[in-house]
Amino acid sequence: MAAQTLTIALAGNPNVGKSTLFNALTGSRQHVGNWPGKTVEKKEGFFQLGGWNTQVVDLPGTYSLAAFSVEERIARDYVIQEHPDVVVAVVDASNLERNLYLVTQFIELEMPLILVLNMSDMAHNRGIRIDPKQLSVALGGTPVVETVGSRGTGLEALKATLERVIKQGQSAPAVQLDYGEELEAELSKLEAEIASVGALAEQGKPRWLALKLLENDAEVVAAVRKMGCSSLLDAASEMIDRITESSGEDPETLITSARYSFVARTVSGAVTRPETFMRTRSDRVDSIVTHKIWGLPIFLAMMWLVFQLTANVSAPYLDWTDSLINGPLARGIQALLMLFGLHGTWVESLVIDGIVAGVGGVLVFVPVLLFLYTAIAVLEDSGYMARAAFVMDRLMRSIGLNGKSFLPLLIGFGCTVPAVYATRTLEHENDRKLTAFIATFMSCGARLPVYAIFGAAFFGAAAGNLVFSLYILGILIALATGIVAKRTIYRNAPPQPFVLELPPYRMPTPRNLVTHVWERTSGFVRKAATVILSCSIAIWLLMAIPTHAGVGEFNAVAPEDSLFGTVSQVIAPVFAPAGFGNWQSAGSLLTGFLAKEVIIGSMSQIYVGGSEAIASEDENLPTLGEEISGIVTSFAQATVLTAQEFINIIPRTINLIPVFSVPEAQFLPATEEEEDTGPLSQALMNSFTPLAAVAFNVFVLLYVPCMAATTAMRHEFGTRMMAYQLAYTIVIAWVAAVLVYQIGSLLGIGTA
Amino acid sequence: MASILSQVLARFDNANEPLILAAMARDLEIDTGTLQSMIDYWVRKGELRVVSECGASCASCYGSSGCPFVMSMPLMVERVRK
Ligand SMILES: Nc1nc2c(ncn2[C@@H]2O[C@H](COP(=O)(O)OP(=O)(O)OP(=O)(O)O)[C@@H](O)[C@H]2O)c(=O)[nH]1
Repeated sequence: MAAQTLTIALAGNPNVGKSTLFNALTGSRQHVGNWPGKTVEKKEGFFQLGGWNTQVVDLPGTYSLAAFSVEERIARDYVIQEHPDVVVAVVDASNLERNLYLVTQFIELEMPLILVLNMSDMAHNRGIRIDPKQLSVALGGTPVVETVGSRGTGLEALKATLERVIKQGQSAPAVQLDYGEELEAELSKLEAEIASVGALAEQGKPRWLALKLLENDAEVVAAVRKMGCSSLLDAASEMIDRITESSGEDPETLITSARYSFVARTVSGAVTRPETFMRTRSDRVDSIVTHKIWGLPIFLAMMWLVFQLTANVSAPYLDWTDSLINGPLARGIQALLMLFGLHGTWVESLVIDGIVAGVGGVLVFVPVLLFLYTAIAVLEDSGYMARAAFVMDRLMRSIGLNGKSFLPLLIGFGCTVPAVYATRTLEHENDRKLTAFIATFMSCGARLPVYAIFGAAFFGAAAGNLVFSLYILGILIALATGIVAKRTIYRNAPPQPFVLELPPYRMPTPRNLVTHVWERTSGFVRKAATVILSCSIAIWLLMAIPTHAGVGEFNAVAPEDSLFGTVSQVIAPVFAPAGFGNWQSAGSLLTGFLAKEVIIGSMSQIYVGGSEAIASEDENLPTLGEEISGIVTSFAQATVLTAQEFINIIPRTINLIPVFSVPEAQFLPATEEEEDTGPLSQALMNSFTPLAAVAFNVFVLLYVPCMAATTAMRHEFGTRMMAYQLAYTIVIAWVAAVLVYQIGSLLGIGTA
Repeated sequence: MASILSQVLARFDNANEPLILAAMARDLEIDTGTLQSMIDYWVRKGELRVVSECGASCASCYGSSGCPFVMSMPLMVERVRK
C-alpha cells in the first residue's frame, strides 16, 4: 500500500492562492515545466500523505472549464483524461459567488472534490461569514476546509481531510445541478442514446457528455464526430433547435444560467454578508456624484476648482518663469551673443526677438499647464473621471447625442488630435464625424496660455472665472452644434445604452501623478522646442522683411511695414466689429492656426520683441550671483503666494454668493509697486479693452483647430469634412466674438 | 421566467440610460464579479461588446510612447446592435 501513488489536482480561478497552497504542500519537492505543446506553466510536486506518496498538479487558473482558452482546455483535458483521485478546488472565500461557478463544473464532471476556502482572512475582514457545514451540504457533502494560504493556516486540516477522503474511497459530490424540466427531459433522452453507443458508454459520464453536446461544445462535438457517431450529433442538434424554439433561449445559455442559479442558491444558504457589502461607501459616494440632479453641478464645481487652480494658484509661478525667461535667461543669452561679437546683428535679433520672445513666451506657461495637468491627473487617478463620463453621458443622451462621445471630448481638453482619433470607439460613422467635428470646441491645453495671459492682465484674481467660463462656453457650443446636427444632417438610430464599471475610488499615488503630469508637460515643452521654434523663426523672418521700398530694409523695418504686418493689416478690419481690429491681433490669430500657443509667441514677438525687457549694454547688469539669488528668492516668494492663492480658493468660492464677503488670506505684505506686470500684459492692456479681450479669447477658443488637428480630421474623415469644419469654426468664432463685443458694448460692460 | 443570463441581456435592451455595473449587480442580486463573468459570456457569444479605447493610432505625434493625453477609461460594455 505504501508504494501507491495518489494524484490530486489543484484547481481554481486565477489569483486565489493556489500556488501558495501548492508550495506549502510540496515544499521543495516540485517540478516546474510546461504543459505538453503549450506555453502554459505546469507545476507538479510530491508530498507524503499518510502512507501515500502523493502527486500534486497545479492546474492553470481559470474561471470555467468551457475550453475557450488554452488554460481552460488544459485544465479540462487534464481532469478528464488523467482522472486525478481528488480535485482540490481552491476558492477565494471573499469572492465566493464568482469562484463557485468553476466548482459547479467539477460537480458536473462528477469528480471527487474538496473545497478549500482560501483567503478566509480577507472574507473575515470584510465581514463575510461562511457556514462550512451548510456549504458542504449544499455541495452534496463535498468536504470544506478553511485556509489562509499565506499564513499556512488550515494546511493540516486540509491534509487530514484529504487522508479521510482517500481512506473512505473518494466519491463524487452527491448533488446534481437542475437544468429545468425541459432540458432535463432532453438530457435523459440523450444520455440513453449515449449509453447505447459502446465506445462512448465506456468513457463514463454520460450526463456530462450529453450536457456538452447540448451546449454545442466545439471540442466535444469534434471528438464525437471523430468517433463516427454522427447520428448522436444529429439528435443533439435537433434537440438544441427544439429547446431554442420552445424556450426562446439556446441550451448553452440555459445550462450556464442553471449553474449560476445553483451558485446563487448555494451562496444564499451558506453565506451571510454584511449590509455594507451590498452597499459600500464608494457606492454611496457614487449615488451622489452620479446623481440625476446633483451629478452635473458637482461636475461643474470640480471644473471650477480645476480652473481656480490652473489660472489663479499657478499665477505666482507664472510670474516667476516670466521674469526668469525674460530676465536672467534673456540677459545671459544676450551676453553670450555679445561675447561672439554678434551684438546688433540680425542674429541677435533672430535669437532675442524671434526665438526668446516666441519660444520663451510660450514656455513661460509651463507652470499653468503643470497645474492643469496635475488637477486632471488627480481627477483621473482618483476615479472621478469615470463618474464624470457617466454624468456627461446622461446629459448628452438627453439631448440626443451619443454619450460615448464624451470620452473623446474629455480627451479634447488635453489635445484635439487624440480626441479625433479616439472617436474610433464609436460605432457609427455619423457619430464619429460629429464628435470629431465638435471636439475642437473643447478647449485644449494649448489654448490655455492665451486665456492665462489675458486673464492675468485684465482680470487679476478673477482669471479663474474667465478660464472657467471659456471652457463652459466651448462645451455649450459643442453641445449646441451637436444638437443641431443631430436634428438635421446626422440623424441615426438612438444611442446605445451601455454598462460602465466604475473603478473604486482611491488616493492618487504620487508616482502615477508625476508620470502623468510629466508626460503631458514634457509634450508641451517638446512642442515648444519644435513647432513653436520653427514658427517663431518664420514669424521673425516675416516681420523682418519690408513689403515696399522706402519703409526700411531687412531686419530694420517697423513691424507694421513688414510682410507680416502688411498682410495682417489687410485682414484686421474683419475683426473690428469684435473689438480687436488691430493688425497685431489679426496677425497673431493667423499664426495661431499653426498651433494655438503660437498666438502668445507671436504677440510677445510683436508687442515686446524681447529687446525692451533687456538692459542695454552700458547699463549695470546684475552679476551671476545676484541673478541666482534673485531667482531663488523670487521662487520662494512665488511658493508662498501660491500657497496663499490655494487657500484663497475657499473665500473666493464663498464670496461668489452675493451676501458673503469673507476676507482673503495675505501671506506677504502687499508692496507698493506690486503691479509690476510683464511687458506683454502691459502692451495688451494698452491695446485691448477688457471687453475686446474677452471677445478675443472667445474667438481663440472657437476658431479653426490647429494644423495638427486639421490634419487628423482630414486623415480620418477626408478633405471635405475638414473644409466644413474650418469654415464652420471660423464663422461660429466670428459671430460669437462679435456678439460678445456688441452686446457688451450696448450694456456698457468692460468698455474702458 | 427567463434565465439569469437572458435577464442580464434584457437589462441592456431595456435600459434607456447608461448603467453602473455595481448597481445592475445589486438589482439582479448577484456579485459584481459574477455579473462580470455573465457579461463575458455574452461578449463571447457576440451579443455584447466591450468598447475599446482609442487604439494605436494615437502614438503618431508623440512618438512610440503614445499620446500622453489619452486617458484610460473604465470598462464599458454595450449591446451589439444586430
Ligand atoms: N490575504 C491572503 N492572501 C493570500 C492567501 N493565500 C494566498 N494569498 C496571496 O494571494 C496572492 C496570489 O497567490 P498565488 O498563490 O500566486 O495565487 P494563484 O492562484 O496561484 O495565482 P495564479 O497562478 O495566477 O492562478 C499572493 O500574493 C499570496 O501571498 C490567503 O489566504 N489570504
